[in-house]
Amino acid sequence: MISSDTIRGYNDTFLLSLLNEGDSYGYALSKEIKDRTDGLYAIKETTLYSAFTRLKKNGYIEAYPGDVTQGKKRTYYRITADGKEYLKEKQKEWNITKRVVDQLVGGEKK
Amino acid sequence: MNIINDYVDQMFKTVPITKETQQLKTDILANMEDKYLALKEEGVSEHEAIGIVIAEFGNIEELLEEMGFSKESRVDESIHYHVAETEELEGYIEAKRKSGLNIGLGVLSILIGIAGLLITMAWSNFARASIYIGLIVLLAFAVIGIGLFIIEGMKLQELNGYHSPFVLLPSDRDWLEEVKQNYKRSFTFSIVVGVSLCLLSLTPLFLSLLISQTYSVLTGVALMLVLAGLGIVLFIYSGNYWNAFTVLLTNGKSMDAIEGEVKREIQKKKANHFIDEIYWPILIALYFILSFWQGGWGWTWLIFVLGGVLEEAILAIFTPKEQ
Repeated sequence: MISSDTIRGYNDTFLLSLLNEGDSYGYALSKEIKDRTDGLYAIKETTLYSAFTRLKKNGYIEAYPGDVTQGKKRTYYRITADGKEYLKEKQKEWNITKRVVDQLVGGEKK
Repeated sequence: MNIINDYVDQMFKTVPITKETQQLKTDILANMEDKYLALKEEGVSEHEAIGIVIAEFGNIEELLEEMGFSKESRVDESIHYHVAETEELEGYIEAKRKSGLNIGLGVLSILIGIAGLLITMAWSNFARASIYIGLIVLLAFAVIGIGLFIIEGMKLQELNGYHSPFVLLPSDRDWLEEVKQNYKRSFTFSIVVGVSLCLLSLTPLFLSLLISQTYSVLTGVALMLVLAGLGIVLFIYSGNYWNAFTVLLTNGKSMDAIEGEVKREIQKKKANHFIDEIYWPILIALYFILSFWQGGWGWTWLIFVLGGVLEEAILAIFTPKEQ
């Protein structure tokens, strides 16, 4: 398990990144996050919906009511053009962050 | 499954009910149920599955803060306030816009009626039959105008709810400010055109005065009324629409401030009640007593001047300052 403090700043980007592959809804997204990280990171419900609220406010995603499946009407989310733009910036930023952190915290001197 | 349901109910107990929070609750509950079922399918025991699902719920405060509801604002349950839904706000703005248009058209209709009477009189050399026709025209337009006033007056009473403090969520506030900002140019334009029309309406009058015949002056006045009426429609319409945003943005308070605002409103109402029902009647009685008894009609009117000043002071003392 991973400390949620460390990862907090990336929740929005995780969701944008997944939504960039196609529209989805709450449970499917949190399951996807858990599966892809082999269970190392499980996003909390409230964290997930805080991120949705923030992303919606910034115009990076849009919510729409999906079809009824298994008797439940779900809220689906789709990434917007602004969201895609923002995601690209975040991806660039991550590549730099990765190098910086690795070189300082990685533990192997080059 | 019931445990999860109860847990979510408990978590959402103090959350103001809006369409948004209801949907949120439904979505979160659906996610948790899905998660629970998936865990059971993986062979996890029921107890353990419930434990995991609840542990992964997180902290409700995190979510509420993001949505603009903070903890302090949900303590006192004795204070009643209304949380506005986006659709309601849209409805209010639309209603104000329509009523502005209808009231404007009502004024125009009455002015056209008067213009009609003037013109029939002017161009028929005041023949009796034509004056009757003119009066009928006036009556018809006046009925339309007054009908519009009555309908709109009744409708506006229903919209008074937004004239006292209510909760305006941050996302709706942003949206309202944006629409208002976008409308600003059209608003200014409407006012400028309205003023121009009112000024321009004097031209036919001046021209008719030059010709200086009864029929020309009457026609000039009729044209002036219609032109000014068009200007007035623009004023009332755009003014009402603009005012709708101002009312919503002024009385719409954040979740943090609403409690103080509602208390303040109650005190303000008390102060106003005192002023209207006790303060002024006493002053009026005093005025008559002094005037008759002392015969001081020459100076007793000063009571009203002093009373007006004192009223402001009383209101200032009894109405708490805005935070």
